[in-house]
Amino acid sequence: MGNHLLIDEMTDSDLNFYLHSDKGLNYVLSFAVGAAIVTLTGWILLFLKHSYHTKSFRSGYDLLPSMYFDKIGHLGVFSGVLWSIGNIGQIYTVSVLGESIGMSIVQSQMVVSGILGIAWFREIRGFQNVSGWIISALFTLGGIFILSHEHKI
Amino acid sequence: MNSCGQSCTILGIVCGIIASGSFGAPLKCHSVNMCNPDPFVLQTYKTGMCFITSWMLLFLGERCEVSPMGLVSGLLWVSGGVCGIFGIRNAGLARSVGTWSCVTVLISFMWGVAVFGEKVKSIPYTLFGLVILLGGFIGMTFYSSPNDLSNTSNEEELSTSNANALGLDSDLTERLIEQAEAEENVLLPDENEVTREHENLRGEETIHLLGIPFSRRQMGIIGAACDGLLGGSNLVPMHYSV
Repeated sequence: MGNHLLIDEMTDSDLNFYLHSDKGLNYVLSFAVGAAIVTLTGWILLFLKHSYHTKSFRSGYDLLPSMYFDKIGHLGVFSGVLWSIGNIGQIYTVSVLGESIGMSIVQSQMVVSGILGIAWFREIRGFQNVSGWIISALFTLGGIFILSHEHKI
Repeated sequence: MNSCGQSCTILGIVCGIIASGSFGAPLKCHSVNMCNPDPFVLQTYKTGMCFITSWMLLFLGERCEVSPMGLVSGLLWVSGGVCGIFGIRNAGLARSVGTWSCVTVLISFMWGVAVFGEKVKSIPYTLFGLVILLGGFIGMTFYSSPNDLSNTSNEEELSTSNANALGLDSDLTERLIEQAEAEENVLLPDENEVTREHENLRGEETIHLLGIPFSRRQMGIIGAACDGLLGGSNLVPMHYSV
């Protein structure tokens, strides 16, 4: 009864937000389980393929690509955590802002990877390239601002 | 989570942009380059951490429900990831990321407006915003691309360009070239083999798809476009989940 009163008091905007954001965050778990099943299936298929070619399960297992847990495990985990946070943010954004606006805005992640590329990895060099890239990034941010403003609940 | 309103949306956008844009940085470290792990291994790290961290949302009050549609999303995401890696290896990082970002925006926009009937305040302004966004993507891709390989006459520049495109350490590549040159004296490959190898590096090797000849670079861009197509659709099943 309490919930019904609360929902009655909501505006259309609030109600839409309540319904869609809830669905989005719940979907994170479904997405993760689905991705895990698909990836696990990929490993099994790879193992069966190698086993078939070598006619031995042991050799099939040995031929699987190494995870390099001791050398890159911490980096892989860190990268995976960052990606997972990004994925939760993306799913939440799409569930609230919609497929058209939400997904477009999140794609501006390219600005962040570009900034890292310039400042940290020195991938983009030379005044012309860096200034051209910065102007393009400003265009991208302008596009995001316009799209965010155009979203209609 | 549902009570924090617009501030959560902004937090979601910021997390989505910053975390997704920086997850590749740890994978460019020297130790990763030295190990040169299989792309599927890196995909497994991502999937594994996604699986582990997603359960933490239960502490935020989310229900423990798994929709079968998640499997469809997972399939689209993993297969898109493989296409993306194919794109990076054949067309370079900058071109591939730019291509799949543009395609993702276009595809997700098509899904949103044409299929789900999402409303916008003004169609002309929205299209204007979309053009500005795509223009920005293309510009960033253009200015972050290495020089055109076909115009690169210097072998050292060529190897560095390819190393950057593959995310490899250029020092390591130089060492590998020196090693290869030392082995060349022993192996003495025929001239055709050397020419083929150089064509590979320049992206001029021809690959036939459905009887149509494509260069490696074109195939890479097609791979990146497929990633955009699949990536732009991987959250579509969410709309059909219970």
